[in-house]
Amino acid sequence: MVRYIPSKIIVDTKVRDSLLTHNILNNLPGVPVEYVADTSTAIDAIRGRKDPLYAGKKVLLLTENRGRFLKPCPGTKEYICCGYRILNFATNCNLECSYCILQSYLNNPAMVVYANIEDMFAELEDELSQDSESIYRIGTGEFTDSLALDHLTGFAKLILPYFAHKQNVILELKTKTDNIGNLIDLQHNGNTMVSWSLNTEEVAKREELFAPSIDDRIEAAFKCQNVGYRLGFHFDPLIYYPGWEEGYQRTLERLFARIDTRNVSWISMGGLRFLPELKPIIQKRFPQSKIIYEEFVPGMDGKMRYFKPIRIEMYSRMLEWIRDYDPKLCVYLCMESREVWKKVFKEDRVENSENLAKILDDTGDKK
Amino acid sequence: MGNVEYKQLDIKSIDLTDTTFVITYGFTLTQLKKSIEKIGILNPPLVKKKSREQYSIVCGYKRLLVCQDMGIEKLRCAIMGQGIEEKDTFLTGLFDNLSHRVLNPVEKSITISKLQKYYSGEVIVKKFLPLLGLNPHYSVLDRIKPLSGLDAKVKDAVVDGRIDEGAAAKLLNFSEKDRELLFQLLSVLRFSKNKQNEIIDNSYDIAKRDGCSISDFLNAKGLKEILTDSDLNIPQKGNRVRYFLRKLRYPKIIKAEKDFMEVRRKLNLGDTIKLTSPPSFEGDRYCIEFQFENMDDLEENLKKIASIKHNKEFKRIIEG
Ligand code: SF4
Repeated sequence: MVRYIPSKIIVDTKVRDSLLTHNILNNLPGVPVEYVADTSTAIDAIRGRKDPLYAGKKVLLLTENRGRFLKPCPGTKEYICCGYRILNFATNCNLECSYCILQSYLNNPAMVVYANIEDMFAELEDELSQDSESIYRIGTGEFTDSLALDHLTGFAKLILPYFAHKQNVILELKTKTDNIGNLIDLQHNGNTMVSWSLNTEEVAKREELFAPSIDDRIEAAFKCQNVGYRLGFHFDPLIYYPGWEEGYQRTLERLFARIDTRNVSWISMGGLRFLPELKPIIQKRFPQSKIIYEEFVPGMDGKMRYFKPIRIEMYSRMLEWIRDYDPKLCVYLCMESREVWKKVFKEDRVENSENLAKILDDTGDKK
Repeated sequence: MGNVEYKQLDIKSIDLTDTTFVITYGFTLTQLKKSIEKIGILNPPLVKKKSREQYSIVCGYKRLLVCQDMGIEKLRCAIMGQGIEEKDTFLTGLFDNLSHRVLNPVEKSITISKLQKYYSGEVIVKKFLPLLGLNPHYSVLDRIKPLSGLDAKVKDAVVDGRIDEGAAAKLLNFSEKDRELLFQLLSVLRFSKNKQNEIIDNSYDIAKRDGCSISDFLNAKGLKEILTDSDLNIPQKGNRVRYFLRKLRYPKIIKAEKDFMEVRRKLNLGDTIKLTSPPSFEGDRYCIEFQFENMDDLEENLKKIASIKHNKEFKRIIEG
């Protein structure tokens, strides 16, 4: 995989002296740097470009997060959510997946790193001490890929040792990359798990333009397994296309040829879903992509989703195939209704978001 | 505007094919002609010298066309100073237009295309879209900009409101042949704005999904039969064409709708009980609604409703 290198770095003067800023600038000698007191002009200039989304990915903006770093996952009440918390240290991603929801979600097209991590640690200290009984499942991969910039930021080297000493935290690094260099020698004390978003090789090639191949992702997972990380895998988005069955079976076959199911905390599944505004963006930016031309209906949360019987069919088959490798593996659905859960798992095991959160807390806690 | 000089010009010296500063599109000259015949030209056209002998038109394009048509040979014109930049000359013409009328969508598109020569997308969005009465968003720019590149008959249809501007812009995503077919279909069936967009979107999606051209399915037998059926009026044809395309675009959803309607029909609930499925079958709430006049009526309806739960086909639909 080609590691991300920006064409330009913009540093908000407020984070000029931050550790993360130093890391990034040291790792990118030769890349032009501009210091600005107000980032809005720079952001506006990118917005004015012909393809702002593409242009934005070439600019790495180091700024401060003025809001909270830790937020609940923006799930909706209409579907069952896993009760995750998001640690928002960066936004945007360079991997250029055609279906990426960030294309219609983010206002700022630049690659942003919130470099005021001193504030982030203070907030975490405060938050985690408030309820020492609860398990905090925290992820960094909601508005970015958790590891895509790690060779520049060294963020993992800061956050993993911090969480390694906490009792009530499971940090999940979600990625599509093989950018695991920083993880290998780190002390994580079982509090960090690494998870990969997987798909069929065909989908990876056609729709996840700059992400590593499925084999490379599995290989990276294998290396993490060897140094004692718990693993997770997310078949999200599941893509329905002629030949999906063989495609996903092949991925599972390759996965479990390298990965011992006992090291897997969970596997999630979620059918492709997108805000209606994303469709014209995909049509414009990825004219070869056909994934948006399947049968979608408006979901109860306003996002377009595959027609329900398609989702149920895909989840049921996937579950069956996964269960063939290990019937005890924790498999869950991402943002689905109780009805779909019931039809896929053939039992009314997960009635609401609290149920699912509890299952995942318990599973994640079995280090 | 700098110095303006007024002069009697030979109309032949004004190059009416040079539309560098012209944004006018979609007009008839009848009214203007009547007025000029009666009271003449009160406001002289504004021109700019382009060579020793020739002038370009800046404001008053229609007035000049009428004069030419009426065989007027000489006309008093205002001539712009030579030092004025091309950009400012264009803006003079634009502001003159905006001061006394609302531009139609094609004229807005022509304006945007011409402004691109002088300004960045950001400036056009922020400064000029509001002046044109449009929201300052890139999506608006993307929707309006392509209109000027459409075939004349589509542009004309946009100007007289027969075709929605958004739908028209989407036509540019098709090949010339497919564009022509779709335009004909929309013109014949006189769809509302939303339905025009539905027809275009579904056609586009089917063609992309199946890797075929629009003509492959618009020339299909089933569709031709609908269009040539003399027993159907235009709205009926329109509805059938929409259903035909929906069925191609969403075969599974249409089949589920059909199966549901069939099962509902077999439940024999009569006219007073209305059973509806969740929208797009996404939620899990079905709805039963009925009206009654008296207690017997109520009991009768409740009995019918109670019988639903024994129906295996309905159970299969609900429980999967
Ligand atoms: S890896 Fe995730 S965040 Fe990055 S482009 Fe793909 S979908 Fe978006």
